[in-house]
Amino acid sequence: MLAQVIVSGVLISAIYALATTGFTLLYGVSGILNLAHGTTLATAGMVAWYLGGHGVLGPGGALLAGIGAGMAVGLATFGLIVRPLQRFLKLSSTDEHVFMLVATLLWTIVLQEALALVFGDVPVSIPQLVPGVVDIIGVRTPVSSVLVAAVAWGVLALLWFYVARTRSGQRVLAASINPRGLVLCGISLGHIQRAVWALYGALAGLAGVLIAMILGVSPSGGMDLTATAFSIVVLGGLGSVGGTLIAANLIGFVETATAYLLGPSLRSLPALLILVGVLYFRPQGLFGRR
Amino acid sequence: MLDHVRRLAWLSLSALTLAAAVTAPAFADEPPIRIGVMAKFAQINGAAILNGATLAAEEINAAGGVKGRRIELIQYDDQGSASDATLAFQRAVRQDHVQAVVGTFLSEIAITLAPWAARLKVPYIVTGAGADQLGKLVHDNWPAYRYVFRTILPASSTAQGVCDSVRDLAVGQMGYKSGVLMTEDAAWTRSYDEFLASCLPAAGLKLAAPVKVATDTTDFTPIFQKIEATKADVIVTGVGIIGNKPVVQWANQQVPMLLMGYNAQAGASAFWKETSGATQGLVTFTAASEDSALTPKTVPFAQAYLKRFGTTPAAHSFATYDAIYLLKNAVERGDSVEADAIVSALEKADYVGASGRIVFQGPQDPLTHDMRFGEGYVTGVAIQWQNGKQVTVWPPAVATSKLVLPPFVPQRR
Repeated sequence: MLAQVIVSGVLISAIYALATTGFTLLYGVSGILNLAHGTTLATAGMVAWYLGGHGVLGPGGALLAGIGAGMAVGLATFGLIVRPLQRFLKLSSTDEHVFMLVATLLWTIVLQEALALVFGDVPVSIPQLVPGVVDIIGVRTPVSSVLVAAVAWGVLALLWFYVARTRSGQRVLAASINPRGLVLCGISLGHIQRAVWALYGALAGLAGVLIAMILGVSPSGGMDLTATAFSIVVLGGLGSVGGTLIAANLIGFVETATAYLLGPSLRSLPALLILVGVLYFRPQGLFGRR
Repeated sequence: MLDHVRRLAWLSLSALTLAAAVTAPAFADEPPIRIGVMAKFAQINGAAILNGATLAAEEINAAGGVKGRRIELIQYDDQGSASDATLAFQRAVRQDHVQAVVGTFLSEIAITLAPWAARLKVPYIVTGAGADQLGKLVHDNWPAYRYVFRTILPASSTAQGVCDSVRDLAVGQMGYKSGVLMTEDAAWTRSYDEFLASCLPAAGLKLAAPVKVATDTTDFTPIFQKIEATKADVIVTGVGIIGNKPVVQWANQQVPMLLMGYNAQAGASAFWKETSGATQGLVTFTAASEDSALTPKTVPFAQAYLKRFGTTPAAHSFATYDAIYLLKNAVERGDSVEADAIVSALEKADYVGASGRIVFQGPQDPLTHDMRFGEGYVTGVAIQWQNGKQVTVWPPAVATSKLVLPPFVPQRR
């Protein structure tokens, strides 16, 4: 039983971590909680499924198409929803938060309906990268799941490298810490925001395709994905990438242990209770800055 | 030259017009018979309902309509929500003046709409929702609820079909001795579980503790590992809302147990694409299949459906197709489109449809206005997914192939 909880927990946590990092990065840099996050993931998964499943593209091509779809949705969200609201309404920062929440919520409904119209509101799954199973400490595990976990952690390591070691990554970091200072240094905040939305889209696109491979996605399942991402990010501390990674593992393991010990239908309950506790005693989240 | 072309064009046009006038039935000036079709059309089951109704209406209209009147289908998308469905039902009756409503996939919605059919006095044929509670409601509220009928099998009849197919295939053919019942947490599985908990052991399959699955479950790993720990031979499913995920994860994780029972989504050929082929080896009970001649109408309907929509019909397509023909039949026999005349004609119906011989249970029977089930009536079939095709494997009389185990499922433990 312990071995099963550990193996399943590690695998599911890796996907959670990858699926929420973009969400928290976006909040850190631009202060926006994108409620269309889950639908962005679902769009990438559905596009990859459609192009891969109809013989248009091979598995690698479908993966790239999914990442492209994620970036397209990310940039569309920025260009059609976020940017016009910031530019034309001249809202106070509190009002802007509320407007962004409502606007991205409405946007997710638009995206969801569009997906259902194009692909049908059906759950779909992408074929595994590598079929077959391996034995890990006595637990039979699909090779693809192990590969997906490895890819997820690899991409997260690359992301860390980008932010910590490259010039453009340092600008993104600076934008999240002190945007005003960045503007004073003569760097365009607009460019950085666009780059962050594209990066966010690519991360969400990759995560969406991997989720479609392991768990399956559907247009109406986008909201559930947003809810999971939201709980993880609030628990870890809004805008804290490190906090998000720890929270993703915490939630992944608690959910898995609950499913094994108490029953699968209670899976999401303890994580929500922890979330309520954290909001009560430490509202900024476990590792939050504000 | 140009003149010649022009003359040829005129000639062809006149010929086409004449041909259309000869082949298309000339409808009298009488208004069309309006039938509402309701479901969530973006979903596989909702599309199956709409397609079944569309095909029946097209065939009937092409053959001259119902007593010279055309059938006009009006679509109502209930978005899978009971409140949307209630509003749509009221609009259908009060504003659009439909003569009957067919459809509904979710049992929760059908149970909500039944009292409205009674209040607004409009025939309502449920063609997708299987909860036994609906038939009991009609029975308990007789005669007020006499407007409600159902042409899809109720959960207990589906359970009977599943039990019989498990007895013949898993126990008889494969020699399996033990199983686990895995069903989703929804209204329709209550009677389903209850029935199978007593029927399967009597059929020779020892049951481990049943597993109830929430309909929003995404990761089935813990569920399958728990089930595997029981060392049972077969997983008997009852899933309708979550059709895809358990099947895909069963295949990906290579769970070494046969997956059979009832999966509402696996009956249509679109399921192969949605699961990217992971459904290979899955067995499900369903109303009828494209390769089994349950009645003389089954195979022609399945072929026409495939040609028209590019996918094979699901159980709900059979149910809705038969429902529209039953309404035609009732209007013709009762010689009226009045609700009460249609209802009494439906009550006396003895109609051979695409899914079997349809005779409704009476007010004294336990599930009033549900179809009679079993030999000589509607029986259903069990199909298995084999290399992209649904192949009928049960009952023996109409089976076209033997059960083939997926490579990761052992013959016997």
